[in-house]
Amino acid sequence: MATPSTQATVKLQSNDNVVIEVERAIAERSVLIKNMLEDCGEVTDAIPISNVNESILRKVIEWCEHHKNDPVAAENENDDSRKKTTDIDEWDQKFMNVDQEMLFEIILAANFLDIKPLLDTGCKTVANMIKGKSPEEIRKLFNIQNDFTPEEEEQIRRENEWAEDR
Amino acid sequence: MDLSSSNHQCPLLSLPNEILITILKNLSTGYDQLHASQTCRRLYAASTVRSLEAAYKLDIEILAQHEKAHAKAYQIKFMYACSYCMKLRPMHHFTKNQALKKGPRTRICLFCISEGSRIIRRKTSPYRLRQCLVARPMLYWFGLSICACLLCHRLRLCPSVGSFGHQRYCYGCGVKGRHVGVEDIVGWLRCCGTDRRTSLENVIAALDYFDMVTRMGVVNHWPWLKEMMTARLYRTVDTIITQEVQDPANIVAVGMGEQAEYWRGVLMNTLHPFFGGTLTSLTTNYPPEWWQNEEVIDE
Repeated sequence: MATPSTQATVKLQSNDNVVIEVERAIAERSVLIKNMLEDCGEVTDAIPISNVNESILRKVIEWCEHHKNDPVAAENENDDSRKKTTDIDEWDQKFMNVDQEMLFEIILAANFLDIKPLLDTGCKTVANMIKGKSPEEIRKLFNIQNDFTPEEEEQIRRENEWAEDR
Repeated sequence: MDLSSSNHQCPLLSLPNEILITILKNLSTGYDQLHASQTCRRLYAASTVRSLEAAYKLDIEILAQHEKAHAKAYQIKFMYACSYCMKLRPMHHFTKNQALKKGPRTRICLFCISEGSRIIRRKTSPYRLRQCLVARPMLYWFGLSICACLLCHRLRLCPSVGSFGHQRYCYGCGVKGRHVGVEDIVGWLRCCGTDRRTSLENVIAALDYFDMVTRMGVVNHWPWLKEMMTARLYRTVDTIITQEVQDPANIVAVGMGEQAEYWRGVLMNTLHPFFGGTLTSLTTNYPPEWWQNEEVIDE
């Protein structure tokens, strides 16, 4: 195992070959990068983030910078504690106020980089978008093609009748 | 992921299942669990793609956990009728306090409560209220206990779910692998008409079977069975209501006439989608002697 490093910054390389230098503490909000740095020690080359393009990487870094002083969740923290609320703080709401394509890319990047609080924020944002909408509204919102046959749709509608109760 | 080709472009459906599930789990908060469950069902209803089956499964998981928690806490297994909307609802659709009360009494479901005073202005006419008050004891009078199947969420009489005990999956879903045969259905039908209480239970339970076998396609193999069930169920319901419930000797509570009408409505509405047609045409096509001929069942 490599010795702990005192390196102040690390370089991250997006999949479109843009290198961004970022404080190590900020980069380490990503469990993936943190583990990589702990395993490799001093890293002078840019770390390739193969699944993330420059604009998304910058957004993720922006989020990490804002949340760099947040307490890191304990590893054994029960997943249930994270799903108890759909409340999102004001800054995060503004941060997530982007088009759907970028929102989903941020979620995927957070998943890839293993940044659970960011992943949760993204998922909560999408959950809030879904809440209270009918299937048709959900289809429209997310551009889901209705691929049911009329018979299947009728059956599903009947089976889900209770969900329409208000 | 098994995405349908038409939905390849949908960013939501392109998310890996575990993320989709995280999104849906974020919907489950307190009483919102109910709404989360509804939302999952609605999302499931939006597309056939397999990733949304995860939503459907999660929905069942949420509801099952929710019901389990309530059942453990209050030892209440059955459903209650909301005093306002009159719909039969599982216990977790009521507040804790109301779910704890046993026996016939006023309970207002969370849906009606959430509509607040609007519902009181809109729905509680004196007639409506009286209808509520007479409808509720009927459940107890008939000795019916109803639970929701954990899989299909349909209301089922306990005979329909009893064999699976606390798991409360109905035969229709057949989660435990029970396959209902024609003889089961015929058995249920033969019980119809023996007495008022078992009649109604058996009719409704037979309806469950009928619904299930229709979906399984069994009746397509035995058209005579469908015809026989159709006619016999229709006639049994009519007999129960017109000859037994409305019999003065059977009147056990004030407002019985309204109850009979209420149940006639409930049962006929239930039967109509299966049968179509009219009672008159059925009784004409199937004269009294037809009903005496049990052999028809075994042909």
